[in-house]
Amino acid sequence: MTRETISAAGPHNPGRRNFLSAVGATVASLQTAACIRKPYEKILPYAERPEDLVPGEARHYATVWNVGGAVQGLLVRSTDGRPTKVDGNPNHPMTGGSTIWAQASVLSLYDPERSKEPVREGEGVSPDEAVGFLKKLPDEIGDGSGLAVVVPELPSPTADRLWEDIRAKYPKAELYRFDGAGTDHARAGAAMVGIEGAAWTTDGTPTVIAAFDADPIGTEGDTTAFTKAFAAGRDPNRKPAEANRLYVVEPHVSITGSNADHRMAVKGSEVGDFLAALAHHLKKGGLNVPTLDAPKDKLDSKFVKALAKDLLSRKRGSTIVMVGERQPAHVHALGFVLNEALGNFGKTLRFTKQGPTEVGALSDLVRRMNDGSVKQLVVMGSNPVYEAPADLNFGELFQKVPLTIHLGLYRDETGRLATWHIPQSHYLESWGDLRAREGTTAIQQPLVAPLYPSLSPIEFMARLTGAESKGYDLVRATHQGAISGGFDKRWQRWLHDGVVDVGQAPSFVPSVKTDGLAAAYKFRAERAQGLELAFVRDNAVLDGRFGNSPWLQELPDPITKIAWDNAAVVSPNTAEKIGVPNNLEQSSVRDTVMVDVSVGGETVRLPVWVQPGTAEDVVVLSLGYGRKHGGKFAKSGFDVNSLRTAESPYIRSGAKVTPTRKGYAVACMQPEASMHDRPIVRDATRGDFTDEPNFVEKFEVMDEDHVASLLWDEPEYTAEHQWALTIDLNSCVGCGSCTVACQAENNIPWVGKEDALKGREMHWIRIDRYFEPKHSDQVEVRYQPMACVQCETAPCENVCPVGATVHGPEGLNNMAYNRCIGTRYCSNNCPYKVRRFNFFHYTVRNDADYGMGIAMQRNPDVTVRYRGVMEKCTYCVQRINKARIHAKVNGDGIIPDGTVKTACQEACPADCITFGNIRDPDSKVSHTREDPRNYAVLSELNLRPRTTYLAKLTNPNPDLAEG
Amino acid sequence: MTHMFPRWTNHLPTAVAVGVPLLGVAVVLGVYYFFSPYYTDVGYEPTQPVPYSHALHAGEMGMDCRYCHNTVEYAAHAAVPPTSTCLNCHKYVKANSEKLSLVRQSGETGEPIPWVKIHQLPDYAYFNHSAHVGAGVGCVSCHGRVDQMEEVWLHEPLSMGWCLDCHRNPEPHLRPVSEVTNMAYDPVAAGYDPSEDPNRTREVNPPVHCAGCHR
Amino acid sequence: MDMRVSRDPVDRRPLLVNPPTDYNGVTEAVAAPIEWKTPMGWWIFFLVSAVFAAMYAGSTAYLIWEGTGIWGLNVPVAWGWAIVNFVFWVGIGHAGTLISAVLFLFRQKWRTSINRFSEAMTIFAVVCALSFPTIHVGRIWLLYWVFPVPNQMGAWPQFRSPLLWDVFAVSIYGTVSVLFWYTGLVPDLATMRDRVKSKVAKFAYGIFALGWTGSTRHWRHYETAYMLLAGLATPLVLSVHSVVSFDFAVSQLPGWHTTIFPPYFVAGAIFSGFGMVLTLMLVSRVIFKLEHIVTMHHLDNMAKVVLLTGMIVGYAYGMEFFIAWYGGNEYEMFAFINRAFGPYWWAYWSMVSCNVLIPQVLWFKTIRHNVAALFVLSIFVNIGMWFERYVIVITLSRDFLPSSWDMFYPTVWDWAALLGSFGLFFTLFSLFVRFLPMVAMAEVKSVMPESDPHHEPDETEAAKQPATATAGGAS
Repeated sequence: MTRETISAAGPHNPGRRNFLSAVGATVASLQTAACIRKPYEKILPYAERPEDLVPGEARHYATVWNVGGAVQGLLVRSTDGRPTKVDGNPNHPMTGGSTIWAQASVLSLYDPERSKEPVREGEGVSPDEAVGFLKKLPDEIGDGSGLAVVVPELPSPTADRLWEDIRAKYPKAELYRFDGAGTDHARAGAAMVGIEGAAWTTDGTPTVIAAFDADPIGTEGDTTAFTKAFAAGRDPNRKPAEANRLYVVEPHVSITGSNADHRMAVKGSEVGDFLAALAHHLKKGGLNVPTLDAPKDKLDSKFVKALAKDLLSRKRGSTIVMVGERQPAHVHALGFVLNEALGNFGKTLRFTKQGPTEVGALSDLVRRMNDGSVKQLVVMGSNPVYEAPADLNFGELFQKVPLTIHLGLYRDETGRLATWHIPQSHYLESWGDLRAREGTTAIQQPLVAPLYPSLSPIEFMARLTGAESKGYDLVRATHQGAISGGFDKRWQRWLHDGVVDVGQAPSFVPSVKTDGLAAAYKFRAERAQGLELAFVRDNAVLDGRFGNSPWLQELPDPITKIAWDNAAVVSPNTAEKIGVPNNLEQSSVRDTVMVDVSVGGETVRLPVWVQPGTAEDVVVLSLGYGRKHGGKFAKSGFDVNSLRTAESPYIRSGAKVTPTRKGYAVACMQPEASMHDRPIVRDATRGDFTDEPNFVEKFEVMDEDHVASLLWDEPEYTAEHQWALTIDLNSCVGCGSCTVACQAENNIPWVGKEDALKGREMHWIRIDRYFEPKHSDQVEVRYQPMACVQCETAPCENVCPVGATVHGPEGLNNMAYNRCIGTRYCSNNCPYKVRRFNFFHYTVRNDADYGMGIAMQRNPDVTVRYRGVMEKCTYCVQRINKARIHAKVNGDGIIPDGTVKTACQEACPADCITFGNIRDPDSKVSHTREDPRNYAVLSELNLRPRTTYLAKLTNPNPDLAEG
Repeated sequence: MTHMFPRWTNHLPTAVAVGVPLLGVAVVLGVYYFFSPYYTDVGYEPTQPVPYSHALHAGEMGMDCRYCHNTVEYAAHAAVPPTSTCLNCHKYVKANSEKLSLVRQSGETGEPIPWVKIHQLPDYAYFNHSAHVGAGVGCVSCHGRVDQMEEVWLHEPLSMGWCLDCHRNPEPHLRPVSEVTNMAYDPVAAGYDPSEDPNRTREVNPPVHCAGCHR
Repeated sequence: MDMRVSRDPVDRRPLLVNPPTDYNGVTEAVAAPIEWKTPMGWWIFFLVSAVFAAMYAGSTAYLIWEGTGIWGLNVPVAWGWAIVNFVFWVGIGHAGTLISAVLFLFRQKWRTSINRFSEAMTIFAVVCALSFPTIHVGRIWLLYWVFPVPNQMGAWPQFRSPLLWDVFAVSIYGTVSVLFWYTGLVPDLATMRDRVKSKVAKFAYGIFALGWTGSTRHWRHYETAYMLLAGLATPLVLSVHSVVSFDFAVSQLPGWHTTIFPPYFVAGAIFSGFGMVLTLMLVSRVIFKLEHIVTMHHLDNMAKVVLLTGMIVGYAYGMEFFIAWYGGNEYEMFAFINRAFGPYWWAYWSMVSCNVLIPQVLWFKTIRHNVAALFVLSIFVNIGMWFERYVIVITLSRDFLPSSWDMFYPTVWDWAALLGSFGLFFTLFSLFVRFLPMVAMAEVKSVMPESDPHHEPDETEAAKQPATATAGGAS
């Protein structure tokens, strides 16, 4: 049985012993029950061991991937040939930590529902047949007059080169771009003001950030890089003038909005008006901005006035105005104009020349499909049949095209309708190269040979031209020209570092032409009546492409805390108007009702959910759920694409919502949102902080000397390493990367919706989200990552009858899974409720759900837990042990500061987690613990937690100070 | 009344009162020993697919353990050698021996040789060879005189209690790092004192807390 | 309508109303239910109980197969009905030993009619109680780790854990109760041995009668042993439930971490124990025609104990709130306000009304002497005491960090375990009433007029106190 998996993984053998470890641990843990002869096991050594491979030892390789054009450099850990963990590559300019998607991507590699074989008209065929077909394809295409190729956002030099080849071979062929996470509106907006053939991204640490329906922290753009900069900009040590202040205008509560200093909840259709109003005030402030009419009420908005004043008061070129993809092109256009006027071009907004220019949009393609001029339609790595707005009615037209070819990781909705479906290689299986918006190129190198016969995007493009080159050669060919001589040495270094040190896309400062703008910027005189639908990219599954990842499905939404579902999210007042109960106010928060959301004759039935902070008369619908052919996990939730229109894909007015009698249970992972005035998340404004640096002490409920008395002997921690961890709430944005990273590192199972509903999630590190549900459209969100805090006087320890959880000499609250008999007393006595219990055999359930794949992903350094066992965070003790052994074998046994990084720390884009040895006064963590903002949650219990928090600082605009 | 029980039954209550507790103790001790690896595991000697003799290679020829188990000094696993290692010599030595057919076959086909695992810890116990070798714990301490074993058999119980015995008091089991693979070396006979050893940069303090081996 | 009234040798209170003419009469009366041809009613009762017991076994099997997740448990509420039932049954198990041992030491002769009965109940309750902590653990096959037995892991149980104290406290309590009960049984078993006809029965009773002949020497040893066991058992009455209460009191949860728990648990236990004794006794004495042995006088006494302990419990409820306020700990304060007015308010108020308010009616003699009323009341007490434990355990649902608050919803399997345990209890009980003398004949005889040294059979004596006779509540 191990044989298949070995051959499946290609030339490298995956680690046999470790592979067996992962699956066998459950068996093994039975052995403690009775000391009988251990099971009969084989050792299958390599016949020919690869030179660089040491059985059981992990190695890291650099690669790169992109989501909707956002390129991220990655470091992938591989154990015995199995990729087991993905993290950001620090060498890569666009990387700080990593996204939840990068973290989860390692699991998708092993997804048993990936497309495994080419399919012709619904029939699986042999790879050779597909190859044969592709060979003959060029003759069929001819001059390409009938050829249309739909590409995703693929900023790859090699792809660009190959596209030129395709152009050369088929001069009449047309290229179209479709990507559910793409930036069509932004491009169109840029085009309106004369910016073309460019990519752009934020740069530096802007001081004032005005996000108009933009979500740069969550779902749009180079999120990790931006988050890093954003967090840096909130550093308490910055001078007030340089400390950033985030203004957000949006209909739904986005992750960005939840971190705003000032947030205004407005209908998506009115965001543009506010931007126009801002333009007006900036013009008054002396900026060169075209006159645009804006509605009176928007002009009078206190918020906009204050924002304008703030923008003007800051250093020129130090601010930024961001417009979200949900907004139409003309709003983006104005966004560029304002940034240009504020002098942000080339400063906080960096432009680089890249990309083929003549690329059509999906609507253009549909026009051609209608008139039947498309004979061969190639769809690469996107899923328009599911994602395209319903009124394009893409699916039907797609079937009318004589020959359709789909290249995809899954045989998804599009793949099913295509004449030919060709399996696409996972990025961890492919050679390639990607150029970040900022300009740097990186080489994408595979960690395993393709698990199934498949083609990478560039290999596929090559096939279109009739070439059969391998990805490796294609990429090298692209870059060979870049340097003269010594290529192989450089190539090796590129692979090692994960970045190419030549051929940067040149940055430039475009000029904007504002003439067309006023015309384009016309407001519909009549304001839309009724409810407005806001379609948003989901914080977990984005546009649906990640729908089949159980990790992401179970990752609670940062704002609503909903897992495994999407819902019709409305504000409390709107809920009242609609006539549905406010589920937040009943004891069973999770029980809500189904509502019929209907617009333009289309109706979707889905559960309603109340979320304070949502704009009035707005119904927020997140995309990417309820997939028909996305896999068993992607089915969850409800497909809302049928309500969208191509003309305005993200905003639709005139909707009706009618409650039904049908109830529905939504797996909300944090039913209680209020802090009940307990000093859990402590915060202050920057002003108050400067006046009173020790403000955290004000929150204490019990005076120190009273707490300090212990009834029993002081625990003694004498080992040379004393581990501790601090979490800076001032930089945490609540994205959830740490949760997924922890899940990948520590073999944490998913429990599925049924158990999530019962409140049995297994996440070792969760992100607590608090707000006062009382407010309606205004909401202040507070995030607090919470994992085991490793109390020095841990209450969980003395109640365990078998001593399964006891302290180690280094201050860790150890958890011996194989000793646990599952009385659950420790969980009861844990005031932070961070212990997780295997109520069922979740591991085995996961195996059943996911096949052997999940076992391939599991980290061989961490025990796989058995049913009936308690588990929890131990500061990634496997990493500590590794470092300690290394230090002991090769030195004096002292682990230098920074050698051990916990999984959550590595993943955090905001860099808010610090881990280290407090015995060493110079360690980073020792310093953070001396920060005046440092405090322990529930300090009055005298548990002396090793995890402490740095209080949050807000930076409100005095002009907008409430009351 | 009629006597339905014979006279001797009068002693039954006493017998039971004394016997049952004794039985209990006996059962506990019985389980303690007969279900323990000392009894069930030690001496385990499965037949291997290839009749490889440690006694010949490590013993007579005096090959160093690390020639085959080459990762032992820097990795957790003392990797079982790939077939290629065997063939380094056996390409020339005994090239056509019947006994080695499986090895040659493996070398040609790339199919691994299915060795049977003998020293087997539960998967939740994480043992690291480099740590022990680095601290100067000899191979022989856990594996016995492999150099005298025709076919390798389990010499020690490898039970948790057995591990702890040494972890709680390692000194008697330590030797100069240079002597780690020397099967014949006896630290006691050699009068070795770790604290006197100039090559030791730090004192050996093996973990005795859970996370030392379980994670 | 001439009526003989036997007197309590100590305080001259009538103990048995219209008792059998002599010792043999008592024997006849008590042995009768065993010697009857098995009545239909018994079969029905037994089979129904057995079905429920089987349900318990079945649900437990599934539990062990599938995992504790089949119950409504979650984090934060990691203990559910299993622990509620455990504490509930342990509590029930108190009356037995109390009545037997403590009242025995206090020379409360009236106990003789009911002690056997309540001891049996105690043992069956403890059996049910022990079953719950056993099956509620995640990996039952490793449960033996809680016992300090030598092992190859060089690992020992952790003696700081209240759960471990439980293991010892409850098992010791169980053992002593069984010994106590059995010792008391020996003479009566001998009696049965001598009465029954069938060889098998004779043999069975014979074995357990341990060759009892009733010689003075036997009696002397018996009395001493009984006295010693009573002495042993008495402290256990206090210790076992105090230790059980430590499971909560030693933790640091708001609403659990309270010094009042031990006394309050013991009082509650006696309260619930007597409640259950009443329930069973009221039914059995009618069915098995024992009204003249278990008299109104006994019921009256038990009712008074219920009233008293009920008020102690009520005091504890009040005191908890006072301390929560007086202690000034905001978490503690919240916990109690949440108990009374939070999502589980209904559980709290059912507890208060069943345990404190309703028992107040026992101030009235008419109620104490109304069998039906007492029965209904005893049921309320049982329910109320179950809710008390539920209220305590469910406190888990809201502790320190609101982010981890969650609700507990029982599943069908929770119900199966609860009802099933009652099935187990009544199965054992029906077997008891069928095969063992449910009244301690020997002891009852000791309080009969005939055992009064100053007793001279005088037919007219009864006629002198018609009042007492009626006061005894003639049936």
